[in-house]
Amino acid sequence: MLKIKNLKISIDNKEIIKDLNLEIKQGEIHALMGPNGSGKSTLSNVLAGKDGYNVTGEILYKGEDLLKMSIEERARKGLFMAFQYPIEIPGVNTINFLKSSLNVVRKSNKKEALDTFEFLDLVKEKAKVLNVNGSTLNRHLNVGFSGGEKKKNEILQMSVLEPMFAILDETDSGLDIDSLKIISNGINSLRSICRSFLIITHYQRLLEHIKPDFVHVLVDGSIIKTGCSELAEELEKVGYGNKE
Amino acid sequence: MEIKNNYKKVISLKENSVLNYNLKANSSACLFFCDYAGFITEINVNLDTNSSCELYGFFKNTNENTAVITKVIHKGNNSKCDQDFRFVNKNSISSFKGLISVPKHIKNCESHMTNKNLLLDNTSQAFAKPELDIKNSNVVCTHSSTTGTLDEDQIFYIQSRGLSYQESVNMLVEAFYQDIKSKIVSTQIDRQGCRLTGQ
Repeated sequence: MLKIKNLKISIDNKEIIKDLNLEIKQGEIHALMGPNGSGKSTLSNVLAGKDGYNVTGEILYKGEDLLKMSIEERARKGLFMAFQYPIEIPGVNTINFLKSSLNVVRKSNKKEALDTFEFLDLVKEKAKVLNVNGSTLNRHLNVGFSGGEKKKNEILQMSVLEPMFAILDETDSGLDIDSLKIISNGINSLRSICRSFLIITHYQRLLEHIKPDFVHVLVDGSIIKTGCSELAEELEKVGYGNKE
Repeated sequence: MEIKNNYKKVISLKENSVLNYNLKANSSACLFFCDYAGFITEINVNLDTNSSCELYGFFKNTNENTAVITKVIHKGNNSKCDQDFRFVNKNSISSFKGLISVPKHIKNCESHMTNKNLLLDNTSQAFAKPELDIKNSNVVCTHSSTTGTLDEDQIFYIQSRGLSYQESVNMLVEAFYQDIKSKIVSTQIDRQGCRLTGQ
């Protein structure tokens, strides 16, 4: 699904990611853990296609050169990033945005656009799993949403778009225990043998709900250790410092 | 023109114009200026006792220069006015000059003026001159003007959901005047021939 080879990312001559190699196969869940400033969000931004980074190395997504694709091309080909800080967009209605997004992705995959009724049925079903109420969907995109509502909205978008590869950038940060459970259920409901996840997190608590196949520890721009889900539990006890 | 009751209108002009509205006591007006660009529009409003007026304008300028000059004079006690003029400029220049005037003997007036400008490229400019001429302290008046460009983070977010750069820009431009558009809809004005709300 995703193959990263010798990836280096820098901003203004400051190297953030130093020679990163990672392979995520179809159906796998990988967790990327690490302290603040280790380069986790930089990596997810580059995977989603954000400008402003100097990138060398190779990223293959479903066998194609990801770095040559535009931001929207990546999304249309099934790559999704749940933002750490979802952007507020006043004047854009949440549900209309979701409909535009879904239909543009469907169109590029040669599927027919959903009409309003089909779309509303789909959203209602997905929103129920995440305990998102209808009034949230009629508000402007992320404007005045609480931290939990913003994160739920990201996962709702993910469950409506049904991506092939999802990056969850610190989706658990700022969530209370109940919201964490609801969001984890939402993510687990999307687990499938053809869908892969890269879960970026500081803490083990999300991984108590979503069991990853692999855990990688990113420190200072390099993966210093890879293991199975027990590694996350170990990190919780000893911290990142002792792993260096 | 003289307004005695409740007047609502979407105004679309084809030339430079001077428009005068005299609101008589207890009357109200709601005026939307849209669907045109490239002209100078001068709007003079005189407000009598207990009258209220709302002025909204939205101008999408592409390779054209648009100017709006408003002059709102509170001539009666308890008169109210809200004005909100927005310009989106692509290789264009917009100018907005607004004056709110409250004479010394007029009491309990409320008047607000908002101007927002969105510049879509480096060649565009927006000039704004909001002015208050208030001669007594028994009023509530505000004025504001902001000018900005599109937010790259917002564009990235929209693109990351599959929309192209141009589709993202169009969505943000629509969002920029969305609240004025929804006001036209909620005011239930006859919108025949109004492209702004026909979309």
